[in-house]
Amino acid sequence: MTFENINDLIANQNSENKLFSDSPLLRLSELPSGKNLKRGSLDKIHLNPNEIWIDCRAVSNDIAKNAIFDVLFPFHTIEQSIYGKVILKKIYIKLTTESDCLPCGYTAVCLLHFTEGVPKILAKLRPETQKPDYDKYEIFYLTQRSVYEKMQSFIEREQDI
Amino acid sequence: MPSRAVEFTATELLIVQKGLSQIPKEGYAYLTIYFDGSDFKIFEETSWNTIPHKSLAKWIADNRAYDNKDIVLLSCNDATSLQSLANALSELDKTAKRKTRKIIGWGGIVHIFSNGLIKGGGTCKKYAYDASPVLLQGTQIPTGKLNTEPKGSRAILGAIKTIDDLIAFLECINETTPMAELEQKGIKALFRGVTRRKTDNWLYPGNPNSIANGISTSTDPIVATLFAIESATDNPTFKGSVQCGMPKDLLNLALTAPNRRWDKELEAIINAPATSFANLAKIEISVEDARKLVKEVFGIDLPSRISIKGAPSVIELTETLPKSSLEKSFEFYLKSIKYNLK
Repeated sequence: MTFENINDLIANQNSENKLFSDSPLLRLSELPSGKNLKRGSLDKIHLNPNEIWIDCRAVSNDIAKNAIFDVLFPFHTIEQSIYGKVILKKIYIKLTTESDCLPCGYTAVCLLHFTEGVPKILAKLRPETQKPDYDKYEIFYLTQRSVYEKMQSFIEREQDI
Repeated sequence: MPSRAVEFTATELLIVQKGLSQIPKEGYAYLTIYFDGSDFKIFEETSWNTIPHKSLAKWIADNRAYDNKDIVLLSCNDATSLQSLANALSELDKTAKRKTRKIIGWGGIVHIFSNGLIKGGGTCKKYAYDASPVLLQGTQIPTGKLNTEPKGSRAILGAIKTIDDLIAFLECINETTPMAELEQKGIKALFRGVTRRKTDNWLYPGNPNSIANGISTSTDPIVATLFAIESATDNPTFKGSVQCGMPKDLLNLALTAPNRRWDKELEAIINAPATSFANLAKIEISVEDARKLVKEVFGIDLPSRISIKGAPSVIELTETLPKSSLEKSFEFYLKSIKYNLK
């Protein structure tokens, strides 16, 4: 069996090998437009070079402000992971009001702090003003090392069968 | 002449009055022309004055307060009327050997906030005598009182005609927007994708955010169907449904400001529990029937499974699929009656 992207991984899960239940999984979908950041006056918040605004969606369970992740991986090439501490510093479900939690299924403009610097690979995120195009842009996920290792061993096991 | 000036409510008249009184006298002359069925009424300084239809251009030309000022017409989004008024006014200006003035207007609905901010929808154009209208951009577009944020109550001049109008309207919904205003502006139905437990039909009440801050609905049945498919895909013990309600059946429910993706999901947030919408909405159909109707009304084959963790997810689909016009949404509503589970 081959795993081309995370869709294959999801499709091959079953109740015995659930990979993500009870584990934080944050989907990094797109880069918010300057116009929308301005709408919420988020453009006035000073960012340091390690920080970036990204439209994120909680896709496994609710994720609280200040949640910590340590693995970033792309949708299409799960194995191209980047390890490093990432903190979810701010959540804006409504552009004008900061939230303490990103509930599962919700999308918000989030301020992410990458302790070791914003990875260059995130330049492949789709700008909000552009239509989805998987040949051109990439979706990323943030999770924790234990979850990612579980994913890797699941893939290896399935590929051996 | 503005033959199709819009009508608006008594409450909106008061907001317009308050908003325009906040705008400094220098700069543009902002005019709101109200048509009450027989006469135009113009808001001037602090009061509404009736003016015969054919005399509007002359009235503007003769009004010294508007000398050398381009005229911003707030309540008319009909290009032909704006051009006719520009021609008529320019001819009068030429006869009087004055600088010829231009008429500025928007293609979509115009929002007037009680703090003096003016925000037009669609394109903003300047109309001059016998010339093609000029598209205004950025700082060329009049905004009423300068450096003002959208705050306070708001009047909307014009009915929603385009998706851009709809997005502009939905963005400005807040706690002061009455549900009845949705119907007045042409929104005849709201849709909500939900899940119910298969064993006992229990309605999932939403996550902590929606319980605390309101439930999401959309003017677009495609969006609601997508969310119902997604929720049911990831929760196999639940089944998906789409609830369809008319604003006139939801009058007791309060609206609140939209979430971050309002423009992609054509979202209106209702500050009420999921059960309130479920009880007041007259129609609920299975997600399978909703997919069937999306195919019938829009010609779109939605996938039967959409995982929240995968791609394309609802996020991408709501950006690539066409958005439903209000007319098509109402057609979906009417056709959903035959599948009603209630």
